[in-house]
Amino acid sequence: MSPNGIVDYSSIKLKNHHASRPLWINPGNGHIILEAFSPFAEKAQDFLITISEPVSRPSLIHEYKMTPYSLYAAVSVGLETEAIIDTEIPDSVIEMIRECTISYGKVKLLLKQNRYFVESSHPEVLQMLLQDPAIAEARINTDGAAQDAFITNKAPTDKGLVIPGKNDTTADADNNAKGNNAQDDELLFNTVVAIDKEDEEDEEDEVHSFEIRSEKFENVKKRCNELNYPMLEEYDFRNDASLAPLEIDLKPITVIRPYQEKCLSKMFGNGRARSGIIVLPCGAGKTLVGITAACTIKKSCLVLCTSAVSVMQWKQQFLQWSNIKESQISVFTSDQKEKFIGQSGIVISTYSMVANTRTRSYEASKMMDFITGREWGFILLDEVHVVPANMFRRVVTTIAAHTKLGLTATLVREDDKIQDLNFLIGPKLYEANWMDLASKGHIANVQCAEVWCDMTPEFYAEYLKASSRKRMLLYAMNPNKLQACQFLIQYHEERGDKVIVFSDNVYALEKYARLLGVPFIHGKTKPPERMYILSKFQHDSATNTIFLSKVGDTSIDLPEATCLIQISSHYGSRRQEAQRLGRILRAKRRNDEGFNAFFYSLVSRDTQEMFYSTKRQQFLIDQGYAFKVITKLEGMEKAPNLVYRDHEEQMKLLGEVLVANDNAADLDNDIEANADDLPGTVTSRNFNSQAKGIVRRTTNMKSLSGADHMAYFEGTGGHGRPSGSTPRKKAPAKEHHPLFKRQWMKK
Amino acid sequence: MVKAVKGTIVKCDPAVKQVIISLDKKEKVIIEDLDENHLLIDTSRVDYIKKEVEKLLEENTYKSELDKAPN
Amino acid sequence: MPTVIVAHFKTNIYEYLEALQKSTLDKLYEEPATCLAIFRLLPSLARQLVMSLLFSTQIMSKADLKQWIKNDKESLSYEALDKLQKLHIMIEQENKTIALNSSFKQKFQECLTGGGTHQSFGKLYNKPHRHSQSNSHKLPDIKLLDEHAKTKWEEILHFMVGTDRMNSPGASVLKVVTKANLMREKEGKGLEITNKGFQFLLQDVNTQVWAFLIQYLDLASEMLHMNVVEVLNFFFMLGSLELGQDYSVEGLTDTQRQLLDDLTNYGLIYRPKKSSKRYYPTRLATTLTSGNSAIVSNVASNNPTDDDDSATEQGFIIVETNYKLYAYTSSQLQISVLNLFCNLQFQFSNMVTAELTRESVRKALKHGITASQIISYLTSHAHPQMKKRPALLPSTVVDQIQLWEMELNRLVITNSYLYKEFRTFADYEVVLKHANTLGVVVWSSDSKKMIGITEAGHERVKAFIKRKIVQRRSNGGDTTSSAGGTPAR
Repeated sequence: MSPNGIVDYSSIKLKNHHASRPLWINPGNGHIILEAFSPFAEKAQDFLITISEPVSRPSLIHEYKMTPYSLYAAVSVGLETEAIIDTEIPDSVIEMIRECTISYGKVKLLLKQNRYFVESSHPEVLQMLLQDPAIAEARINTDGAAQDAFITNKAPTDKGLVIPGKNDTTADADNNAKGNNAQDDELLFNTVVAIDKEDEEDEEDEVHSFEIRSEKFENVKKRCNELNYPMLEEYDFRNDASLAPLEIDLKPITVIRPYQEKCLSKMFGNGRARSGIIVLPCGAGKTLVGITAACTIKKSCLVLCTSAVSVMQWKQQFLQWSNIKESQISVFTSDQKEKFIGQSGIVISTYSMVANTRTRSYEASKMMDFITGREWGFILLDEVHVVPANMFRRVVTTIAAHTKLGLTATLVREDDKIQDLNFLIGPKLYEANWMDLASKGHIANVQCAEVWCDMTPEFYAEYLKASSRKRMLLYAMNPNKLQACQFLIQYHEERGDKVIVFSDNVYALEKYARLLGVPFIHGKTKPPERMYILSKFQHDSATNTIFLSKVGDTSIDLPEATCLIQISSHYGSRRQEAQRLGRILRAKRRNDEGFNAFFYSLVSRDTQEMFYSTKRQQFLIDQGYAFKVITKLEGMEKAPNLVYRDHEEQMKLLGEVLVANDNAADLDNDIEANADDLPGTVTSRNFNSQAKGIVRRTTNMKSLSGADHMAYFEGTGGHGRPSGSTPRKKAPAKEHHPLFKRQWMKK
Repeated sequence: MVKAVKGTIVKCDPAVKQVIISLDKKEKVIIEDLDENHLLIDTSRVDYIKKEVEKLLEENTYKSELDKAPN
Repeated sequence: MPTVIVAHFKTNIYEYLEALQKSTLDKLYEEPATCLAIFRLLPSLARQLVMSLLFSTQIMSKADLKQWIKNDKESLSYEALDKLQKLHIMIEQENKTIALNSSFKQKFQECLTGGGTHQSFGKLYNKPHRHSQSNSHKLPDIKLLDEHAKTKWEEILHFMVGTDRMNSPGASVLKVVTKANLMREKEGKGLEITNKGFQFLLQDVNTQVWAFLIQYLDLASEMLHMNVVEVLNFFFMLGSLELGQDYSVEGLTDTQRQLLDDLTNYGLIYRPKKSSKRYYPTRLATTLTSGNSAIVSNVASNNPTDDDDSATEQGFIIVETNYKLYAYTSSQLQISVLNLFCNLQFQFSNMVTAELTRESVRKALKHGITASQIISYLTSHAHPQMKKRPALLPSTVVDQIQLWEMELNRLVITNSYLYKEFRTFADYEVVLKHANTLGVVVWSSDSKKMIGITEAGHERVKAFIKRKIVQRRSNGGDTTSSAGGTPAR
């Protein structure tokens, strides 16, 4: 370190043609800096996203970070050590790459005809692994074959595999357009990052394997991890005759977008299906990626989601995009337990249903037997980032699936969940660039702003002496914030926007909404009412604003919305911020000329909210979003009819806030879990404490033996029809308006 | 009779004024409350007040990783 | 939270010229090169005005003139006229007609038509003709001149930043930087940079050079007893010279010869030997009056020897929306300047990464650098890629830098005396009025009848009130204009 604190790597020589190699590699921390404006950047990005985690991707300069996990992922999609290493990379980085990759990807776990095999093209590695007692013990020695006798086969290739939905003609045109220059560029670039052409040939080699007992496979997997030889999971679905094929294909009109195709090519790169995670922003069509993967594998498929609403959405999407027969697709939720007919099909369910350890109803346990009793070609895991590890483990170990694909929008690194997910599902296969998708019109352009609202002197005086819980209520109820919110609603409604106001704090939510005469939905809003409100918002031109508590963070899909206003939020959760932004990314009007969606975060100045607000933005800022600070809303002073202009009224409000129960400040009292809904969908300050909460709630629910009908149903489509047989179930059943159910069917 | 009282005039926004008022409750620092943006305070307590206001602003500011690391 | 006082930074040669005596200006205009140089420094509308009058024999009124320069922006033409009058180039006669300064008119005509016999534009060495470069002396090439300019100028900047304490620049440099208050004596520890010095570092090179020369001028006239006109003429002559050409010291005055030595030290001039009969202007000198500082802004900062780095001439800094800063540079000087307001992270051989953080910007603000100086530095050195964006710098970053500055000023303190308990409103009013004329009022309130007076103004206001009492007593109790009582303490 020099006196000015800089770490100096200037002694490292640049390559001769560094101008055409837009990369810098930091030997100290494995960071890679990339000029995103370089003509080589697109190729480099493809490569970097394979070997490293994106740290920040604004417009001009991107940063990536190589980690053991990212390198594991790189190896798993077929890159080998030498392809990653460029000869003039700093030694320390080479060393790291070697260390991480030498053992990575050498071993694969193969599920063939319901038998598990450990496979490798390096017999010596298999020998080495068998030195481990736990692995040796799990091995099935057929016919007393010698220790070093392995089953030997030809290595797989992707010859002949076609991913459906690919728009081949445009791809060709694209290539031709690039012409000779592109070829030269490519040549030059390939010398920098030798793309895996040769490696593909290597794979023509023979592969060796030995079989292990299926009940021991998780143990072997764990041992291999500990030995630093994590196993990749691949499924040779094209040569699997034991599993009945599923008749499913994309409808001819369904075309997938280039980045979706990229995701899939990472997944099916060598003709087998790799297990792993795909990260796409909300609104970028994760569902279609999952469906296309299912159409490629063409085997029975299990889809797990976080809520009953999502279950229905997935089903509807399957029917929309693919030619699957309705009889082949079934749902398994607390009140619908369907089985598909025939040898193969699709089941869509929730994590809670499948991972449930409670006593099940007769129907439910029959259904579980149906699920666990068969072998699945493919398991699709939606919103993987919110699923607690133990729940995941249960799912993964109880269900025999050849391929696991995890989908998520926000793999926020603060969670430290990557490690779990890597082990349980597989490496991250692809992560899209938000700004890139926005610039190409796949998701909406969003203008983000943080609006500073001064606390009124009286509110601030109370704030300074209040307890931390009361403080939250005081900054949420700041009259200046109320006014700003009202002003923004008026402003955007006049522009023709549809506005969603988010408030985690239910007290503030109700107060604001009642005051402004706007409909609201929170955890305790009854499903029929919810349905009614959402439908008004969608179809009634007189209802242009709704208030949502965090029940609307995920799952509620409202493409009409073009403006979000956040008045109270959950501490510093970066994920919640990203999820909320996701509510407007698929805005219907996104492709209108010059269309912008708006995302406002109202914060009370000089309070803790300022701290949280900045913290929340960090993930999006790294994706290239910029939050404009607005210290004064132009025209607000002159705006007519704003609430709480009057000092006396403000004092009255303050009085109300001060006598309000401290619990009113709580953010977690809004949502109660339903049998289908995953408590993890509720963002929390601390994931662990949330997990503890689940345990408590589960106990409560257990006493009700199944669904709690008073509970919150996430989204538009909650349907709490009783499934079990306890007496309590009858009463709430009438809460469900018939309209509500019909609405579902229409969808 | 005209009086001249020695002290320090602080010009600040209403929020900072509230902070000083709350400090004053713990320990007398305000000599005269002038108007919503001005206070006359005890000159010997100026540094203390500055420090406390700074502390509050600091608390409400999210810092980059770099700022956290001691240089 | 310290209150930041920003020193007004006089960098502009206009301001200097405008402050000169009319007679001094007249003398200056006796040199054609000076006329041309000043002409080139003028805004384009003013230039148009001069040209319209230069060869005209007509007598013009102000109104006529405005007709001539068909400009729909009234204020602009007024500004141009005003500037020309201040510089005494254009003179308004008693009969409301406008005329060019006769000396300026004559010399400027000469210089455009090539008439007259003078060495105003420098005397070429050996041969008067520019073509004959086949003389025995091999010319130093432009690369060498650029190298010299860069080394010398950066030596000064390095010294200020403190990156290179070993290599102290010459005594004349030290005199200028202390005179200009860019650096000051620190007890027993040599010189340290001042707030003004920090601001200086953020300027572009052309502005820096002029600011430096202006300080030199003051020094030259006060301490070295040089003739200001001679010095200025010399500066302006340098601005008209050709880069790469050698000029003869013959015909220079003693003062000007002495100037040569100092300017060699600053990198404006190159001489093969100290006793050499010839000198070469460097780019720092020849671009002095080009009027376009952008062209030269990076002479001293980029690396002229590296052919690959042509891009840096247009700017080398990328600022991203996530407050990260990437600077394509290997110059220790530029890195030191960045360190004034950034948190430096990593240095690669041709790039430095840094981050703009609240702390790093506050550090700069506390040094007296303003938010707008940081912003203008980032703007003027923005990488060409940044220019493809709607706004050069991300607007959120610009806003944030300004917000950080505002945050530092949330508490403004003034040691004061609070005058209160005036007997009547009239008493209060009369004291307030007086204190206002003294400019010592910090705060006042009509409704409370209170006045806050600065510590410095206290004695005078107190005395005023006492006088009032005496006055009242001698007037035998005239209460209407009286201030009651004696000030406490």
